[in-house]
Amino acid sequence: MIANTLTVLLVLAGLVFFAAGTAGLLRFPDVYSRLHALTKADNVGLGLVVLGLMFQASGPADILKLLLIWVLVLAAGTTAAHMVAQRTWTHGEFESDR
Amino acid sequence: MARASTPTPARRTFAGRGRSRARRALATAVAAALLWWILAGSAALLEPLALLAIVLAAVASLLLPAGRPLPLRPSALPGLLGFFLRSSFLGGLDVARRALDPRLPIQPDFLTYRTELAHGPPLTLFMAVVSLLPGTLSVRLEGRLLTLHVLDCDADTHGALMTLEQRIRAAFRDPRDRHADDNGATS
Repeated sequence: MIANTLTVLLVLAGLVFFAAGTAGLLRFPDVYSRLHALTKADNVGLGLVVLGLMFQASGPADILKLLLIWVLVLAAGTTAAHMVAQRTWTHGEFESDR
Repeated sequence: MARASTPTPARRTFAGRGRSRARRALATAVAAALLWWILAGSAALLEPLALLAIVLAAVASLLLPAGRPLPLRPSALPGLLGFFLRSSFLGGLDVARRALDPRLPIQPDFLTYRTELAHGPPLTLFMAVVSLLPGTLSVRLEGRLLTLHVLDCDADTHGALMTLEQRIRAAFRDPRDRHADDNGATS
């Protein structure tokens, strides 16, 4: 019961961060600022969702699997953000906004 | 082997090579088994295919040339991990607040930062973590000059970067400042 409550609260909190990241992606003015919103907000959002799901895990293997997912997404996210930023720096924005 | 209870530092002598290779193969096997257990569960660990994969991973680490050793200082890792968790959470909170605020309070700007970290794992980790700190995004690295994008040009970005650099420097044994090995982590 307590575990289920914690899961619901943490996953909902994580979803708020995902929504905020998406809001930033839509509202921020340029590629760089949008990358901030995507990487940082989604990192915390996924972290909270993963933490919430850990309370539903059936054993230590499940917990470690969730942790592994978070770490891999984190590494991929920050690397991709850097590469998109670097590409934008050398080649300019992908397309004009208007 | 009475002194086996204390962890002995890795010796660079030729005689120690064979033992360190064996230890590396064992570590690889343990890591492969752990990964298999995480992904497929404990029952699948005894399948022939799992055992084959684990043994092949260990053999591969014996046959392939060793990479450069990762000079980590384990005692500084919990501090770095705690710092990373705390500041990356603050980073997400900060950007979420700015994205949801109707006034959209951002003042984007570029700035440069000259880092003293060694090229390789320390610098790679630094650039990766910078993108998760509040309000900073690593854009470009030229030599040791890092170009960053910041969401709020009024924030004390330089101070935050220096703190991170200090933390990472404490977690890696830098061959250039060997004298700091024994007491460098006290800050």
